[in-house]
Formats: sequence, structure tokens, C-alpha cells
Amino acid sequence: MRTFIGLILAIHVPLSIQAEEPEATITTHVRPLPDARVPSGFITEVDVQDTFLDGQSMADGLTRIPGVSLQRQSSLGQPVFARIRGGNPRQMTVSLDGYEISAPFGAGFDLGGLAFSGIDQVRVYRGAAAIVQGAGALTGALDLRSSTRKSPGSNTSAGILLGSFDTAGLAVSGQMADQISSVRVSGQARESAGDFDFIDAQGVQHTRINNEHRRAGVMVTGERRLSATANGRLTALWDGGLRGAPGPSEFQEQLSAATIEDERAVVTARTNQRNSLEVGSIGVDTHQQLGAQWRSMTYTNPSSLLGNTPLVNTSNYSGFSGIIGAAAFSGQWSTRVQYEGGRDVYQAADAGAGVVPSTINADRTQNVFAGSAEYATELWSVMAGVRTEIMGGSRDEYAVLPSVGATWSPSRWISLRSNLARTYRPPDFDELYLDLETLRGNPTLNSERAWAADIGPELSFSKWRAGAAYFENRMESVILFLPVSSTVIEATNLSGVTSRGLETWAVFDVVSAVSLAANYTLTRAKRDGDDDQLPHQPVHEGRLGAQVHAASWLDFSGDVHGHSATNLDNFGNLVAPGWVSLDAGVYVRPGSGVRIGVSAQNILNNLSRIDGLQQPLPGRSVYLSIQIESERL
Amino acid sequence: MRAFSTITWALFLFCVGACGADTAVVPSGKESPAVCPAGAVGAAWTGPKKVAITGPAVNVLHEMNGELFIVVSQDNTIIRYDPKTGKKSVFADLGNERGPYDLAFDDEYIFVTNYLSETLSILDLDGKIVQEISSPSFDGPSGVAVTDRAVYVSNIEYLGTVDGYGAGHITVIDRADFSVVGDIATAAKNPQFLTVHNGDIFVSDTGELSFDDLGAVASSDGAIERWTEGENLLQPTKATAMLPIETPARRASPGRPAFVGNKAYVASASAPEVYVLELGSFEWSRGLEDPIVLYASDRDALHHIASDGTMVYVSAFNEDSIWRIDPSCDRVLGEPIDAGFDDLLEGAHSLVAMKTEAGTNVYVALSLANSLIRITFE
Repeated sequence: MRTFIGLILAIHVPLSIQAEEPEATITTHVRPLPDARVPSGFITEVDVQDTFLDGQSMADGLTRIPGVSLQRQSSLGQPVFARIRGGNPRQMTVSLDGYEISAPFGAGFDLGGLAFSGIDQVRVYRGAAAIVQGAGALTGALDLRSSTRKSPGSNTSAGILLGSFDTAGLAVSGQMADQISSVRVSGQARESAGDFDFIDAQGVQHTRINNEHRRAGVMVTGERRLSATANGRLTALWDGGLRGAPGPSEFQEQLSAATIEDERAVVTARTNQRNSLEVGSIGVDTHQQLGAQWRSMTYTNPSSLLGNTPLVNTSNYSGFSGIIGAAAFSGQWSTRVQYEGGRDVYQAADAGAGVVPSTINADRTQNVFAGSAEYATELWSVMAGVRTEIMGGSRDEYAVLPSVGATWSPSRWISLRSNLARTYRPPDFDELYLDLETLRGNPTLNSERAWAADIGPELSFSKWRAGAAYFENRMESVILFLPVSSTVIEATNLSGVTSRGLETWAVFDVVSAVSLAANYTLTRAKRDGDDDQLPHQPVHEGRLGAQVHAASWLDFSGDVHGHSATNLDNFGNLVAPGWVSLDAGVYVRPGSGVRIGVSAQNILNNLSRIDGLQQPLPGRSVYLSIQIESERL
Repeated sequence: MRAFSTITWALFLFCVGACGADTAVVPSGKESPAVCPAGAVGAAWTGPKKVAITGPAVNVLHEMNGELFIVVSQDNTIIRYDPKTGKKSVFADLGNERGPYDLAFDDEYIFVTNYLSETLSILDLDGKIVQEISSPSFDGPSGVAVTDRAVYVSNIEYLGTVDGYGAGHITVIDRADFSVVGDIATAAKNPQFLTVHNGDIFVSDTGELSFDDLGAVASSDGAIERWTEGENLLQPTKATAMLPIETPARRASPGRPAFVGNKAYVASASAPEVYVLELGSFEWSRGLEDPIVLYASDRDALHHIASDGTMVYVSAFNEDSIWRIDPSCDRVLGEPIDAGFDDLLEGAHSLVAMKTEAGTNVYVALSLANSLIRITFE
């Protein structure tokens, strides 16, 4: 029963109720965003800086963007994976200030566990627009954006979070800036017991266990004007934690002591120079970026499901990359060229009493040459580009990825955009080299490739804006871990997968103090020749919400979001019912620099929600936050 | 013009949402020539037809009083399916952490082995859990069988991927008061299944299974044992038919037998082979030297077997197919029949053959596709 509930929408939850200037008209905190590299792309930026104090993960903000689906595994602090336009979580990349941090292994980038306290926005590249993020971004990409203070002065803030499931958190931030530089240091720590009651498929209530998490992160971002035409930016973060790794809800006790401990460190620096070269009417901007990262993860299960033997899986990943690029402008023409080079090194080991040891030692080098040209008038623009990815190391191959895009704006209130791009994802290290007895990679895998296309209008008036996009991704050689026999699950290429659908969104500022926003996405994602929707991908998904700036000291928010039923297997047989969640928040500013918030999620206390087989989601949760901020100009 | 646009959008949305819906044409096959001099022709068939969604990881089906009882291991449930009405219901929720493996029944109780919790659930015929037995004797409880005097639980003693399997044993439980009487050692490792036939207990010792690049491989001898209860439940009269292997090989690995006349048919859990045991002499008439070969395969294989009394049906998990064997000369009859719908592996697993007035219905659990299908032979 594919219950259609995506259109049951109500009011919209703000992730950030605290506007920089509280007297100003409330914005929706979701903005379509042009990117000079792909001006016709469907790119949206969403504010996420306050998700922490609302008792949410950064990922929760993404439900405000059409075309993005979340797959939650459990309560706060547990994994959340995103999928864009019918792709799976592996088929999108995640970057920090433009430097890719989604490592090429695992089930996708876990957005649920991050403690990236300095991230203010997430920029979402959907479909063909993700071509600028390169290999891995088959159906989309996320770019996590840090920011620093723009005007001279300093400000500090501290916030605490207390709430359901024994959740407690602390977030601190300090920023200072002068005329030429700014720096921001922020930290975040959170823990929760996480256990909650749920109702299983047989209608029996149980308690979900082993959801504990403790996590902390520190992030430093600095910007400096290097000259009248150049600036530099440095971002560094450390993020780490320990969490329980709950098993299927029918077999919780067997995995009640399983844990995952992980750490991540990232450093990236970028410089931009404007008009670093001028030849006649041609101006040239240049940029350089360096990035390095390290990540370790340890899964420990003292009593594995079969055989009752302890199991330990460790992995270490390191990567670095460099980018150098230039953009030339002349009249209505602009041309961009860029070179990227990088190397990834991955080591993993499975060991334990009674377990045949298994290791992976693999590396990958990447050389990318990208170029594009755009011709733009006031009415329209066209862009064409090509990106060549050359992979080396443990596996050699290359990909040539053309892209074209166009915009047409016949009047101030309407515009039309369209894109077509060839996208590419080489197999991850575990897809190639995993070598457990019953779960195996496949060194002969083909890389995934796709044609990603979209087209859609956007309307913009003084009080409201709306948009729609038809998208289609034709994916080839999609890689899934599938049973190939009664005993072996192996990474396998599917012949083809097509996802297509319609994204719609609208924002309506009813009055200066009330803003409504809605989005709805219809997605059909199927293997070619098969009629069953891909697992975990809802056909219908949507959200409707409101922000009310009732007084200078009082704000309200409300939101209903949900999705239709999702398949839990590849055959359309096991189905998870659709669900809606009603969320709301009240935010009070009793005095200067003080903000008290109460937010509640899943107010209707639906205890039967799942996004994955035997992975129940929590019922009602309530969080109290107190934030104190001071500013010195 | 507005009406046209509205209709266009409605059609577009409908098509994106619903075009290409399943037309549900059930395949069929024609009669195939007889392969045995005195044998029957291969009956025409229709199917597979999906008749029920089961739940994840079905391990076994059993017929009881014209209904199917389905052990859903990953859901910790027993599902009941009535072929007459097509109605499916959860017969019993065994509780979390159980991992049910197999069931047996008599006219009063249903006995379910729980592999992970190492218990035996005893249900009444309405699905209510009457008792759950745990015992130090249980060590990977798998197969179960019941006679008038005893309940037998086989224990595979799985130790892990390195250490493999222990020796294996059968726990004997007094049927009257459900007390554990004692243990009986098995002739070979991994006694997966127990079957009662003509009052005797048949023990399927699959033998140790290990893994190589192409999946499961037998690494110890297999055996079929026949136990006849004596006065002392712990000292049955035994007959044993070994399937010895010299080195790890894709051979032997016997599963649960199906009976036709005075023969037992045993499919391999590692090779596409079926062995035939003469119940009179208790010797293999089609043993390792001369098995019934279903198909060629380099990699591992897993099969289950069932009979309607006149024909033997074999499921091939890795092929998503059903094979027929004519027991009158022990030859494969006709071509394999697709049991799946998809190009992905669906895992044709445990099966039951039920005679009807019109022919035979073979029900097969697609363990990976979480469904129950039916193939109807005229």
C-alpha cells in the first residue's frame, strides 16, 4: 500500500528563527542560488546553524529542499543519509567549503552524526548542477558552508540544549573581525542516551536500545584580505565521537554492545584573486585551494549475530587535493579552466576471534581537467563545459563528462533553466575490494555513469516565489551490494536505473511577520525493465511550514513534513508505511542577547515510523535551548 | 486552452507516477515428454504467481491440515497462509531475538526452534505461546521433529567462520512434560533438519560448510540417519547412509529428504545434485558416484526438495528455478521452471507440493524477495 501522504502538508519549521536583524521581514532561509560555474543549475542553500539547538541534526534542514530525501536510522546522533533526485546515498558527494570530505567507502555520508558547529548553510546541488563537484556526484552534491563575521567587531555566543532521550548539548562560538580579517572559533558537544519506545511491525511496543551517542567538534574558520583584489580563507575542523550501533529492531540484544567510534580532521585553504591579469578587455580571476583530511573509524561488536564471536572492523582514510583555476571575462563571454589533483589512501581491517581476518589497502589518484564557457545576455545565457577525470592508483580509468546549460529570463518575474550533464561515480574502495566471507567487493565493477537532465521555471514576485523542475537521471552500471547466491552478497553492476520526477516549491510572505513555504517532490526511481520503486525512495514527499515573527521578542514556527510509503526491498514486497511528522517551536527573547527556545518534533507521537527495515524512529521529542549572545562593535 | 493544460499536466503527473504498472501476466509452460519408460509426461504448468508477501528471510514452509505455515526468521514470526482463501495472517509473534529456524507439529502443539535465543517455543494450534524451553543442551537449535513420545531438536553447534562446526547433537525432550531427556550424538556435523517419516526420525547431517571464492563448499562428510525409537529414547535403533568427501568439495551437503514410495530424495546444499536413498537397504542408489545432476555450476548451490507422492520438485536458490525429477527412473523431467520474476536473485528456497483435484500446487518461498509463489501443474 503506497499510501499517498506527501500532500498532507501544514506549516513550515524554521531552522533559524534568529535573523541577523530581527526587525527585518522574516526570510524562509531557503534560497535558490546561482553558482557562477553552473549558472543554470538547480542549486539551493538552506540555513542550518540552529538545528543543533532545536535538537535536530544538520540533515533535518534538507527536508526543506525539494528533491532531497532523508533516510534516518534511529534517534538523534544516529546515522542519517541523504539521497538526491532518486539516487542513493553513495551517489552524492559532500564537501566543506568546496573541498570534498565524503570518503569513498561506507554506505554514504552520515549527516546525522556530524558535530560541525561552524556550518551555517548547506548548499544543495541537484542533478546536472553537481557536475561541478566532479566524480562521485552522480545525482547531486552537498557543500557545507562555514562563515565568519563580515563587519568589524566581535561576538560570542553560548547555548545549551536539554531534552528528550536524556539529550544534553553545548555549543559555543566566538567571532572577531577587523577591516581585513575575521576569524571564528566554534565548538559543539552533545550526548544522549537515545533510547526510545516504538511499535514494531506486529504491533508490539518495545524499547529501542543502544542509541547512545557522545560527540564533539571544533571548527576554526578564518578569512583575510590579502590585497585589494585578493582574499584567503582557511577552515579547519575536528569532529569525533562514540555511538551505539543498534541492530535490527527484532534482534537488538544481539547487538546491544556494538559501537562505532570515529574521528575526522579536515583542513582546507583557498585563495581568490580578482583581476590578477588584464589583457585588453579580458580580465582574469584566479583561485587556488588545498585540502587535507584524515578519518578513522572502529566498529566493535563483542558478540556478532552468528557464531557469537567478537568482531572488530577498523578503517583509516586520508586524502589530500589541490585545485588551481582561472576564470576569464570579456564582454558577454566568460571562460573557466581548472585543474584538480588529489590522492586518497584507504586501509581497512576486519578481525576478531573466530573470524577470518580481512584487509583492504588501496589508493586512488585523481587528475581532473575542467573547462567551461558561458555566453550571457540580459535575456538568456548558455554554458557548455567538459570535465575529464583521470583516475589512477589501485585502478586506472578516465571519464569525459560534457555538460550544457541555459537560462532564459524573458521578464523580471519569470525565468527558465535547463541543464544536461554526464556524471560519473567510480566504485568506492569497499565496493571494489571488500573481502569478507559472505560480503564481497568486486574488482571488475564498472563505474557508474549517468545522464542528468532538468528543466524548470521560476516565478518571483514581491510577496511570493515559486518554482518547478522536471528532472531525469538515466544511470548506467549502478552498483549495489546484492545477493549473488544463498551465501554471498557481492557488489554488482545493475544494467540501468532511471529516476525522474517533478520538484515544486513555493514561498509566500503573507505579511511582513508571517512566511509560508512549501515543497513537494514526485520521484519515480526504478531499475530499467522493472516497475518497482527503488528501496527507501518515496514517490511523494513534501513539507509545508510557517514562521511567525509575532513580536520583537517572540517567534513561532510550525511544520509538517512527510513522505509516502517506501519499499524496503528491491522487489516492492516489503513496504514501510508513509508517515508525517508535525514539528513546532516557540522562541522567546526575554532580554538583549538571550534567546530561549522550546522545540518539539513528531508531536503526534507516531511510534510506528521507519525509514529502513527494522529501523524504528523515535516518537515525540521536546528540547529546551538557552542561548546567550553578546556583541561588541 | 486552460482545460487542455490541466489535462496535459494531469496526464503527465499520472504517467510519472503510475505509467508502466504491472500487468501481472502469469507465465505458463506446455506439457513436456516423458523421460522414463513407464513415467508420466511433464505436466503443463502455470506460474509463478505471487500469492503472498511473507516477511524477511523465510527459512522454511510446512503444510499442516491444508494450510501453509511459514517460518520468517528475520521477523521472528510464523505466518499462516490458507491456499483455499488466499488469506495470510501472522500466526505467531515469537518475540524478539529468537531467529526461528524450523517447526514441527502434532495434533496439539506446534514446536519452533529458535536458533538465536537457543530455545524451543511451544505454541498451541491457535498460535499462542504455551511455553518456551531453554536448556544447556541447546547449541544452535535448528531442526525439530515430534513423535508420540518425544520432541527432537537438532543442534548444529556453529562456532564461527574459523572454527566451523562442533560435532552436532540431538536434544531429546519428553513429549509428555517437555523435560529434556538427554542428548544423542549425530553421525556427521551440522544436523540441520529432522523429519518424521513412517514413525522414524530422519536426521539430515549436512556436514560442515566453509567458504571459498565461489561461495559455500562442503568441508566434512554428510549423512542421512534413520532413527527408530526404542524403549530408551536415548538409544534409538540407527541406520546411517554417509556421503563421504575426501577434501573440501561441492558435493554431498544433504538437506531435508522428500519421500516417494520406498525412496528418499535428498538435495545438496552445495552442489546442483540430488541423491537417492533406498529406504529398504538404506543405501544410496544414486549417491556421490552417480547423482542426479540438475545443471552445471562452478559456484555454490542450495536446494530444497518436496514431493507430492508421484513427482519430486527441487528448488534452486541461486537459479530462481524449480526442477522436476521423475521418481520412476530418477531422471530430470522437462526444463527448469522460473520461480522468480526479476533479474535479481530472489532465492527460491523451501517448498511444499500440495495435491489438488486438478493437479499439484507447488508453493515456494522466495527468501530474498520476501514472498510466496505458486506454480500449478495440471
